[in-house]
Amino acid sequence: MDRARLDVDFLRLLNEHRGALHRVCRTYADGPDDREELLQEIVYQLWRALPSYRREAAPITWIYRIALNTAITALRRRSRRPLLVSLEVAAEVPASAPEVDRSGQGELLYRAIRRLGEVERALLMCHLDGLSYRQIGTVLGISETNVGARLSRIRAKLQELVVETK
Amino acid sequence: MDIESIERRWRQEAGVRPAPLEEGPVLQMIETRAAELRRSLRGRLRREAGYYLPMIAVSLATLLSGFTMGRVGAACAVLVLLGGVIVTLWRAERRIAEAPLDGSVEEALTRLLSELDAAGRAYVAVYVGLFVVAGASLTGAVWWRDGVGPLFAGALAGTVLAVVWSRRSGRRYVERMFRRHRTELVDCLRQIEGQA
Repeated sequence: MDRARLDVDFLRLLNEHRGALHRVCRTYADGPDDREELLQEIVYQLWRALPSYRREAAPITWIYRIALNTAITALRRRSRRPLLVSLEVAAEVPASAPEVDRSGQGELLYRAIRRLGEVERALLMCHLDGLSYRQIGTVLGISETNVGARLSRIRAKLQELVVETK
Repeated sequence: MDIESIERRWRQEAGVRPAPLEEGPVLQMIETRAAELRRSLRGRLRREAGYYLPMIAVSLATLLSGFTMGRVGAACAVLVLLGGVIVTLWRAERRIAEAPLDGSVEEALTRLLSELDAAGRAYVAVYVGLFVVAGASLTGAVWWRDGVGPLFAGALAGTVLAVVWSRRSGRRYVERMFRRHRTELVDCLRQIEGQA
């Protein structure tokens, strides 16, 4: 890889949406190692797709598409193996998270979400992160009406799962 | 916990931003992953090539008993055919590994599924092709030497049986190789279509 090709725009894009990337990892991977591995894979896929990124598309939908596609299609098919490098940047949760998550409610919520189907998780995550129905439809490839109908079912299911997971 | 509290909890968590990504570690991530993919592709091809080593060894061993046009031709044909199998596998694996992921989830899953199926079909085709060409060469050689007779009939029947067997075993191998991944993709596609 040509080191010069990692341009400032790409790094800025990653940093603007690093929270979303971490949330995708936390939603789709169980342990810290898997999260690191998934983050590494997502960053690689984003870098690979960068030349095809059309500036007119909202960066958040582009980032979500690639991150979710990677999480859904790539992680489970790969054999488990030790990481080749230690990635400090890919910490499991933000450094300040323990202060926020004193009650462990955050982890409980993620555990409940991880019990949803892959696509349900994607839909719910996009909704919780504030994407419009239209953007969610673009990310997943379904109609806006479908997003609304399925979201109400998923929210009800999540509520049950949170109670069960407690 | 009601759904509003759950959503509030999520947004509270989302408000805590992780440490910024620095250029060095990001480059390292990309390079490591790219190297890992290349290594895994090479490893997979080495394993595949290993299955055909006995055939390569036998075809080269025939040359030890002397060089004739026929032997050299046969050995070259085997090597070309096996090369075809390996190249087909390499291309199929590469297309799967490099399938674009910038479309919608539905598009990405559909594309990947079709790449998997195409890889499976290509593998079976070259594998069966190998048996067809080998069988046809053998039968042709028998016909050339002995004409139509019991030996020719035996070679022809053996070729047909070998081709039928190769088709079945090739399909079984492909199914074993891709079944799990394919099932998962189909399952996700069903979720997208709202059938699961």
